[in-house]
Amino acid sequence: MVSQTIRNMLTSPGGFAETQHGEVRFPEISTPILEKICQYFYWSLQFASGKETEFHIEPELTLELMMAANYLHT
Amino acid sequence: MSTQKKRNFKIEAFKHRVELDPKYAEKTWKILEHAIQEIYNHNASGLSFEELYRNAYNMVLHKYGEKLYSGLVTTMTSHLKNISREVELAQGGFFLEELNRKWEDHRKALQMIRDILMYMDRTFVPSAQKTPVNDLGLNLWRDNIVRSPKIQARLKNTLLELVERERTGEVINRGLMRNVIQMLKELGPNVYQEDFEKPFLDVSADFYRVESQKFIECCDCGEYMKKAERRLNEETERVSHYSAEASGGKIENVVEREMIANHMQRLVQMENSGLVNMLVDDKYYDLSRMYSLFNRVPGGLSAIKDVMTSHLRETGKQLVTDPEKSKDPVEFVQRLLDQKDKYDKIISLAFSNDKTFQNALNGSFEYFINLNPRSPEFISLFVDDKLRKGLKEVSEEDVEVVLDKVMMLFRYLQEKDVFEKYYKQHLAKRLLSGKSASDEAERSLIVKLKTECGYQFTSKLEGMFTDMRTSQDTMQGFYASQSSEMSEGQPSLVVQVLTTGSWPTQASTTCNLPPEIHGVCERFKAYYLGTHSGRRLSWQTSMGSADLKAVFGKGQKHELNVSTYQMCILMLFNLSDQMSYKEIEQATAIPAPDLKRCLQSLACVKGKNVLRKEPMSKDIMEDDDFFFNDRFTSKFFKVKIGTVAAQKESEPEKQETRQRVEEDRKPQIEAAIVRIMKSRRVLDHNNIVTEVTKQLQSRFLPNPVVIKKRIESLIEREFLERDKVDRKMYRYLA
Amino acid sequence: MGGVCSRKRDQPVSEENPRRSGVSGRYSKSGSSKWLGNSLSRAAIDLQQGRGNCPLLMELCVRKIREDISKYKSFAMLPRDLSQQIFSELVRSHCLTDASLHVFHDCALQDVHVGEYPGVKDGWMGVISSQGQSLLSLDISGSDVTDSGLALLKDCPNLQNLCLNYCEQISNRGLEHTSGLLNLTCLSFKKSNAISAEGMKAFASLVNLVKLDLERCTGIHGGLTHLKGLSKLESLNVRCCNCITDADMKPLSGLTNLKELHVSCNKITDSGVACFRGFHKLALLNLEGCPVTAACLESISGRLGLLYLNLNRCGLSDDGCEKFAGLVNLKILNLGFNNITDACLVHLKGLTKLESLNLDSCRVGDEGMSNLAGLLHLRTLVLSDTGVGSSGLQHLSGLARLESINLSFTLVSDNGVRRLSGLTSLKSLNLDARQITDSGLAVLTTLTGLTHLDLFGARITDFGTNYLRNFKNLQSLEICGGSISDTGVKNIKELTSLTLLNISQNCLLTDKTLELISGLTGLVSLNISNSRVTNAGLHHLKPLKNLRSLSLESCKVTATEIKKLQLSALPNLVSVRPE
Repeated sequence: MVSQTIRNMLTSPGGFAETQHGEVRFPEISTPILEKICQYFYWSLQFASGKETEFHIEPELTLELMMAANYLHT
Repeated sequence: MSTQKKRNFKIEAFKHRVELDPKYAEKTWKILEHAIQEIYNHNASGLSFEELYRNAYNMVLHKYGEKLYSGLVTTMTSHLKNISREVELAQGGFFLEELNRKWEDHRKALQMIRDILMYMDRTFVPSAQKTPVNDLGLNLWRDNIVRSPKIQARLKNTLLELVERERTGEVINRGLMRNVIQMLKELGPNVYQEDFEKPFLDVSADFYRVESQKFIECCDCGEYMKKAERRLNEETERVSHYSAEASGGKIENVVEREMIANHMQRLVQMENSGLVNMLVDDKYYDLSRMYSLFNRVPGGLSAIKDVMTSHLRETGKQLVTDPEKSKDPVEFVQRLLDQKDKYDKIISLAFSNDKTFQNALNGSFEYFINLNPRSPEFISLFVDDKLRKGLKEVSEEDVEVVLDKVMMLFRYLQEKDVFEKYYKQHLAKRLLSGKSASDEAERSLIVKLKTECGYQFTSKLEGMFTDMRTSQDTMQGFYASQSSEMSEGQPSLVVQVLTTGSWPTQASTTCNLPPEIHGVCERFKAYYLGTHSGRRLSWQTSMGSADLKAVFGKGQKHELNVSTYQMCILMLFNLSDQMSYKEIEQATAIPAPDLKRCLQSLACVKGKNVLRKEPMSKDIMEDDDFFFNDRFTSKFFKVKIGTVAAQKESEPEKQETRQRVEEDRKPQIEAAIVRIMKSRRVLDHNNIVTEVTKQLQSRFLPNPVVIKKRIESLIEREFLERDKVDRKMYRYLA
Repeated sequence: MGGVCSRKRDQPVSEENPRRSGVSGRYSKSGSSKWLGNSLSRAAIDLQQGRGNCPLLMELCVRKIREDISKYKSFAMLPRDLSQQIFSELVRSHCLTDASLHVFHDCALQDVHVGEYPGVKDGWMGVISSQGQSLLSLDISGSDVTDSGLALLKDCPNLQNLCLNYCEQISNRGLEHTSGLLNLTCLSFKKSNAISAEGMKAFASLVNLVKLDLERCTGIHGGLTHLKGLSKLESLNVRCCNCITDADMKPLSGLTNLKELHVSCNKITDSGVACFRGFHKLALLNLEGCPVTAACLESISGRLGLLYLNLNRCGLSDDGCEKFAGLVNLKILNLGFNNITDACLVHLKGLTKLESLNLDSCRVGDEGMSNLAGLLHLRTLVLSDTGVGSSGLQHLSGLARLESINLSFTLVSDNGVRRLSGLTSLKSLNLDARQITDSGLAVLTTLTGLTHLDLFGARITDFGTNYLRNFKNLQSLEICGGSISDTGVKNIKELTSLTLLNISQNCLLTDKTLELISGLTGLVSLNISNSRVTNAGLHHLKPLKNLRSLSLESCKVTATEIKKLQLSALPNLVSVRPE
C-alpha cells in the first residue's frame, strides 16, 4: 500500500466526487512531479517483488518531490 | 521530461513559506467548515476530497493548525448539540432507534472528516499533544449525547427496561441492543461500565432476588434447580447476543449469588425434595445438577458434602447398631456393601468423582463400621459364606469383584487384628472340612490382604495351605506303606497334619476313640513319626468328620456324615440300643458342652434324628436316655448331620476371642514403644502415645490407657526409666 | 590464569541505561564489547529498513537531499517536520558540516541531537538558537561549545531537554545561562570538572525539572542544596562524583517525588541514607561503592515500591542483612563484591519477585543456594567468583524462568552443569571456568534457546565444538581456551545468527578459519587476536558487510592491510585493532 492519502481519496465513505468518478486530480502538483511519483509507485512494486534497483531523482526536482511525497504520505 | 530548473533552487518555486495572510486562512477554514456541515447533512457527494484535504494541509503547513483544530471542535460540538435535541424529541419506543441511527451517521461522518484532516492528525496533533480526530469525535459524542443530562438517564432506563422485558419472556430487538452496547464499548470502558454494566448488574440482582424468593416458595428442590440452571444459561446467551461478553462472568456471579448462594441451606434441607431425598431415591440427574450449580458458589459443595456425610453416618449407624440387623452377619455385610455401591455410583455419576466426596464417604464408613465391635467378625463370616458355597454359580471375575469390595470394607476397620483372628478360625474350618469352594479365590484374597497389611499378616495363613498340601503327600505315603491285608476291613483314614502355630489354637480335648478307629490312628502315628523325627502328634478330636454306613429298622441303608464326636457317640450304639447320658459321657470322655451340642444335633433335629431321646425335649439334660432310632427315614441316601458351620460366636466365645486379641496386642504395643525409644532416646509421654498410635494404626487403634500400662511394665523391666526432674519424660536404657 | 587472560577485570563502571547518542569512543578504551551496545542495536535497525521493506519516497528524497546538501541555501520555507527529518538524516549519516548547517537557520526545528557529533562548537549555536521557541530538545554532548555559546539559548525559552555531557568548555558561568529555561524538565551534564556548587545556584529556578544528571562532576559538593525547591524532581544521578557526602543529602530530604536516585561511588554513609526516609515513591536506589552498612536498610525498609537496589562494592557484611526481608517487591538486587556469606542469603528467601540477583565475588557457596530455590521469577543470576559448585546448582535447577546465569570462576564442574540442562529458557550462559570441558558442553545441548555463550577460559576442544551445532539461535560466542583449531571452526560456520564471535587466544587458527566464517554475514564484532591469521586471509572477510569491530592483534596482520579492507569492502567498520 503505497499512498494512504490516495487510497482514502478513492475509498472514503460518503460519496466524495473522487469515489464516485474513480478519478483524482491534483491541481497543485505539477506534471513532472506527478509523473515522478507514478514512477516511484511502479519502482516500489518492482522492489517489493525482489527487483531491487536504485531510484534516480533529478536534483532540481528533489524538494518539490519531497513536498509532494509528504502531501501524499508516501 | 521536466523543464530544466536552475541550479540554485530559488524560493519562488514554492508558494508555501509565504505567510498565509489571516484572511486567506479564514477563507480556507470556511471552506472546510462548510464541508463538515455538508458531511453531517449527508450532502457530501460532489465535494472533492482532494480539494478539502489540500485546504486542511495548507492550513497546517502555514501554522494555522490550532485554528483548524479548534474550529473542528466547535463545529462538531454544535452539530452534536443539534443531534442531541433531535434524539431527546424521539417518542417512547423510537428513542433507541433514533439514537442508534444518529450514532451510525456520526461514525461515518467522523471517518470522512478524519480522512480529509489526515495531515493534521499526522503532524499537528502529536506535536501539540492534542487528542487525535477519531478519539475527539468519540469524546464529543460521549459528552454531548450519551452523557447529556436529558439522554443519559433515559438511555440507561430504556436499556434496562428492555432487558427486563426479555427476561419476562418478551421478544425484543436484540440487534438494536447490540449496536447500542457496542457504541458504549467504543466510547471507553468507563462509559460501558458506568452507563450500562453497573446498573445492569444492580437491576439484575434485584430481579433475581425477587424471582428466587418466589420460586423457592412454590417449587421443590429439583424444579428450583432446573429453573436456576435455565436462567444461568439464558443470561450467558444474552450477554453474548448483546455483545456484552465482558460482563458475562459478572452477571453469572449475580445469578449464582441470588439464586443459589442465598438459598443454599434451604434447598439442601428441603423436606421431601432436598438432598437427602435425592440421595435415598438415587436421583442422579437432580444430584448432578445440584453439584454443578453449587460448585459455582463458595461453600456450595461443602454444604452438600456436610449433609451427605451426616445422613450417611446416621443411616450407617442405624444399620450397624440395630440388633435386628445384626442377627444375620452375611446380611449385615451385604447391606454395607450395597450402601457403599449406592454411594459410589452417586459420586461417580452425579458428583463427577469428586475426591473430597470420596473422602467424606470413606470417613463416614470408617466412623460407623467401627461403632459395632463385631464388624470384623461379621466381615470374616461374610467372606466365609462366599468362599464356602455360592461360588459355584458365580464366575471368577465376579468373585474378584466381590472380594475387592470386601477389601474396601476391610480398610475401614480399626481393629484389623480382630478380623485376622476370626479369619484364621474360619479359614481353618473351611480347609479342614474341605468346604472351600475355590483354592484360587482363597489365594486371591490372601494376596489382597498381604498387599494391604504386609507379609506378617498372611504368613501364617499361607502356612495353613502348605499343611493341607503336605498332608495329601503324607497320606499317599502312608497308604503305600501299608500292606493290603493290614488295610482290609479297616476304616479308611484321611489325616491332615497341622503345624501348631499356623492354625488357630484349640484347647486339646479328651475323647475316647472307638477301638477300630484308634487302631488305624496308631498305625498312622507310627508311620508319621517314623519319617519325621523330633515331632509330636496330638489328635484334634474336636475337629474332623466321619462317614458311617448305617442300617435302620426296615433295612434302609444310609450313609451318615458326622463329626468325630458324633461318630464316637454313634459307634457306642453298635454295642447297645440304649444308653443314658451319663453312660455316653463316661464312655466317650467328651467335654460336657460339646457333648450336649452333639446329642442335640443327633436327636433333636427333624430329619436328622438318628437317635431318639427320652423325654422328648429340646434341651439335653443329664438324666436323658438315648435310643437308636430304628424308625429313622430320610429321602436321601447320604445324610449330613451337622458339621457345624462357622457360626457367629456365642457370648462367652466372643469374650474369649476378645481376650486373646487384647493379649496379643500387648506385645505389639511394647515392641512399638521400644522401637520408638531406641531411635529417639528421650521422649515425653504424649509424643510416645502419638507415635505408637501412628505405627500401629494399620492393625488396630491402641488404647492410650493400655499404652501407659505397657510403659509402666517396660520401666519395671528396666527397658526405660523416668526422667528425675520431669515426670513425663522417659529415657531409653540401652 | 596462565596464558588465558580474562576480560573481566578491566570493565568500566557499567551503565544501566545506554545513552541514545552514538559511539563514545573517547571514554571506554578497553576492548570490551560493552560499548558496542548502542551501536549494535542501531545497526540492526538501519539494516532492517533496507532489507525487504521498500523505502518510502520521503526517505528517498531525504537521502537525495543529503547527497546534494551543498546545493541548498535554506530550508526555512520547508515545513518543520520535513526540515527536521533532513536534519536528523544529516546527523545520522555524519554529513552535517559547518557549511551545511546554515541551511537550517530558523527552521523551527524541535529536536537538535548532535551529541558526540564531531565539530560542534560555538559557531553552531547561532543556527541552533535560531530555532527559537520551537526548540524543545538539545543534545550537544561532547562538543566544544563554551559559556558564550550557551548564552544564546536565551532565545529558546521552551527548551525541555538539555544535554551537555562531557562539554569541557562549559563552566559555572555557562550554567547561569540555563537558569532562564524555566520549561526545562530534563538536564544532563555528565563529567564536568568545571562546575561547582556556585554554578548550581542556577538550578534553583528550574522548578519543572524532573530529571537531573550530574554524573562524575567532581566539584559539586555543597551544590545540591540548591535543588531543595525542585519538588517535581523524580530522577537524580550523582554517580561517581566522589565528593557527595551525607551533608549534601540533607537538603534533598524534602524531594518526595524522587523515584530514582543514583549516588554510587560517593561518600554517603548510613546517616546519609537516613535522609531518604521521606522518599515514599522511591523505586530505584543505587548506592554502589558507598561506605554504607546493612543498617542503612532501616531507612528504606518500608519501601514497598523499591524495585531496584544496588549495593555493589559497599563492603557490606552479614550484620543487619535481616532487613532485606522487608523489601518484598524488589526486582533487581546487586550485592556484588561484598563480604556477605550464605547467612545473608537466608534473608533473601522471601523476595519472591526478584528477577535479577548479582552476587559476584561474595563469599557464598552451595548451601546458600538453597535459599534461592524459591525465587521462581529470577531471570538473571550472577555468581561469578563465588564458592558455588555443582551441588549448589541443584537448588537452582527449578528456576524455570532463568534467562541468564554467570558462573565464571566458580567451582562448577562438568558434572554440576548437568543440573542446568533443564533450564530451557536460558538465553545467556557464562561458563568461563578452567574446569569446564567438552563433557560439560555435551549435557547442555538441551538449551536450544541460548543466544549468548561465554566459554572464554573453558577447555573446549574441536570435539566439543560439535555440540555447538545445537545452539542454532546463538548470537554471541566466546571460546578462548586455546584448544580450537580450524577443524573446530567448521562447527561454528553454520551458526548464522552470530553477531559476536571471539575465538582469540587460539593459536592454531589459520587463514582457513577466515574462509570458514566468511558466511557469517550477520557478524558485527569479530576477534581472532593471537592466532596465525595473516594478511593473505583478509579478503575472506569481505562479505561481512555488517562488521563494525575487528580485532586481530598479535597476528601476522598489518594495520595498513586492514585499512584497505575497510575502505574497499567494509564501510561499517568503526573499531579496528591494530590501529
